Amino acid sequence: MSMMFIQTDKGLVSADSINAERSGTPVKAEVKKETKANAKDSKTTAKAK
Amino acid sequence: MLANYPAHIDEKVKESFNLYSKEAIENSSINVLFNVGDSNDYSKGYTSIEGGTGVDYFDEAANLSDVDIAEGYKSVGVSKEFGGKISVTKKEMLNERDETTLFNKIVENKVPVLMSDINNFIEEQTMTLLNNGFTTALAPDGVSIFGAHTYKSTGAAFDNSSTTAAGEAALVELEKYAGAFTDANDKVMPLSLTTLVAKKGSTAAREFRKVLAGDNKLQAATIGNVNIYNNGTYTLVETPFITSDTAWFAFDPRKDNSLIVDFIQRPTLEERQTRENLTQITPASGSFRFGAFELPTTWYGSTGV
Repeated sequence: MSMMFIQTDKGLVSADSINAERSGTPVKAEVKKETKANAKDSKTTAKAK
Repeated sequence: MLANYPAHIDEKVKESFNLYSKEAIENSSINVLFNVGDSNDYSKGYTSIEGGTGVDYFDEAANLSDVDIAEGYKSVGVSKEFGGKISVTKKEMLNERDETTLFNKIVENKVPVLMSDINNFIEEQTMTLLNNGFTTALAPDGVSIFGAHTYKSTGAAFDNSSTTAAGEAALVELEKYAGAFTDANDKVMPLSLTTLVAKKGSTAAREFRKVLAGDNKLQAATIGNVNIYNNGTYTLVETPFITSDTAWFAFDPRKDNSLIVDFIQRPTLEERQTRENLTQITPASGSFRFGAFELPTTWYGSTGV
């Protein structure tokens, strides 16, 4: 049910998987394949001037 | 004529639902607190920009130095659908033989409940960014939104979390933090964390109101279910969707907001359908994503204990 996937050295990992791993719940890491989801990169506005 | 919904009534209900729903979100706390928008991308990639460095003097006819833009963490937001439906059975329809009465019954009783429930769902869900911000709601570095963050590009760090209780000491701490904030390259990146957020009617909200009132008269406004107080310097937003009595948050309203809510489809009343048992189903649904898709450099939060 994750809406957020974070780029890690394992690829895109869901926030839920990170939380589960941290809380010690043994789950198989949900790794999202880098498909078109990653193709559009918003290049968001600079936060730091 | 046997009770039924003529098509034009469906259209009216649908139109009023969609308009009301949009307006309800505009008047909600999430519109004040988060970066709410519409998007056509079901999945969207975000990159945090952590700073730039390289500006320098240059001699006559010399080349200018390259400014290095420090790209930070990347994240991807994926949308989710949500919704619910209202049902009118054959018996209910037969009980309402006059179509005008039926229309009123649907509009006055069921559709508003559906609208209200959907809007409540949206606020409750998106507000988990703050309510779970010290625990499971993560920033793109994998750390809680309010926690000890590290810039990816340089390894420099900042901690936007606190345990200080709301009040004068909290404002002193906040102002020091904001004035001393630096970007990934340790360059000054002053913040004005002038919008405070607390639960409506909470201890934190009351404490802030006392301090903010001081010598000034607080200007109060209510938008939807949100109370907003302003003393000329700070704005205090009180929303019932915060769960903690002591927690408080602050952000810089002038800067880009990294807490993002993107609607792929705003809540919309779908086409009415008739089931095999002649029950009329009217679904309402939408699709959105929300998260701290960029490093929350412009937010600060305290558990208050």
